Amino acid sequence: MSEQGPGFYANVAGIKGIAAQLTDAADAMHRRTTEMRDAMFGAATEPGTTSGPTVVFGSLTAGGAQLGGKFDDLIAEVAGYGYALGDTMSAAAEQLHRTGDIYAKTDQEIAGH
Amino acid sequence: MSDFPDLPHGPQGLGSGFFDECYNALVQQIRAETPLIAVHDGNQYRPDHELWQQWVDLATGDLTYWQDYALDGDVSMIPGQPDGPWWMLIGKGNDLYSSAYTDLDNAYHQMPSQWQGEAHNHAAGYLDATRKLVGGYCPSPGDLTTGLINEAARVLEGAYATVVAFKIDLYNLAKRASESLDELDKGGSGETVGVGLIIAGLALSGVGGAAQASDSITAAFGGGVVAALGGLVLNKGISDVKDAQPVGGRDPQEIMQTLAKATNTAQQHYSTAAGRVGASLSEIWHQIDNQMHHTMMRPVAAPTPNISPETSLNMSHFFPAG
Repeated sequence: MSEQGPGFYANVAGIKGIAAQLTDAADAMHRRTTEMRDAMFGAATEPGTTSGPTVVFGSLTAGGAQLGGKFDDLIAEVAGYGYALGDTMSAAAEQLHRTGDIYAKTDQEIAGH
Repeated sequence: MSDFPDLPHGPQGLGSGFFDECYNALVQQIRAETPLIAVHDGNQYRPDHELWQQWVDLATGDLTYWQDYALDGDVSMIPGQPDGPWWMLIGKGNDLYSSAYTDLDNAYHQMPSQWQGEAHNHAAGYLDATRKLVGGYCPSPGDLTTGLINEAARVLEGAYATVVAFKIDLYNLAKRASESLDELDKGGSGETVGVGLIIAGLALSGVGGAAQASDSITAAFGGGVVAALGGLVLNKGISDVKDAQPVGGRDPQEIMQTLAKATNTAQQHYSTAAGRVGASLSEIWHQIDNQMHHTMMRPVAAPTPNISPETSLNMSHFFPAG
């Protein structure tokens, strides 16, 4: 499928601008989810210690001990998913930059003909 | 009157130090209310301190069973007091919406004015799919009803409410034991009184039960806990304090025996309730994990392009259409 032809239009600067915007979005996603994890991750554990997730929920009952572990797991998963979304946005931004480069190169080659 | 402490203003006050105070007050009462029996020794009567110590040890042994659970886990260790860590999650989710989602949404909407053609369609489809996933992760600020971050915050809050309810029950049981010992001090009989368990309601219905019990928790803290339990408060009536446990007796040993028995029932309910709330946490964990590994798209790695004006430019390998 040829890109060139009727209906085809590519503004290299515009595509690069969109890629930059996407990079900003990915950065925000990475930054905020890291902040989220840092703020939350000690939630079921004593901050600054390695005493484990049972500090809040206790370990004498089976339910309490499991709840502490699941509490930490869910916080990690929420933050991890947000970070992964940031990764995929960052990768898309990179592809858009490359796309812009390809169009720019094509324009130069056309101009040089 | 004993020095048994009042309920703190908020759940963050239900820490180990507070329960130590409760324990120490009860030990003092046990010692004060355990009679020193005089035994006949030769031609005279003498107080039998050894027997007294045995009775005190018997009562404190049962009290230690209560103490083990009172000190097992510490609700004051949760960060983000007094509002709780779930509000941090919701706050960061709102920040994400106003930064990452808005940027992504703008990028998606600007694309058609800068780029048209087959490759654009693939890229736009990809961005649209990602935009929807991010929108489902951090919904618009003020909307607490949808979005994975909010769902996670709600069940984390439910988990906290569960352990707080258990601690309040342990406090109420011990308080009743202290009142019963006070009655002995006044020459009364230490009447046995039923103490309802909030945790029993939670054991029945997990996170939903945590919501139902919130009014009871609110009443216990005179409103202070509302901030910590936040959105969990659903204004439901608390006729759900269940499984009242008798606490009291004719002497310190009998009183502590009833306290230990009631503690055992409460801890069984706590284990059940925690298991149910834990299942809700797992459910959301699996939902997120599924999205992360099966729904979320990643751009396909692009081969090194070999572009010339004569070759076609097909971007589908860059962005699989969403």
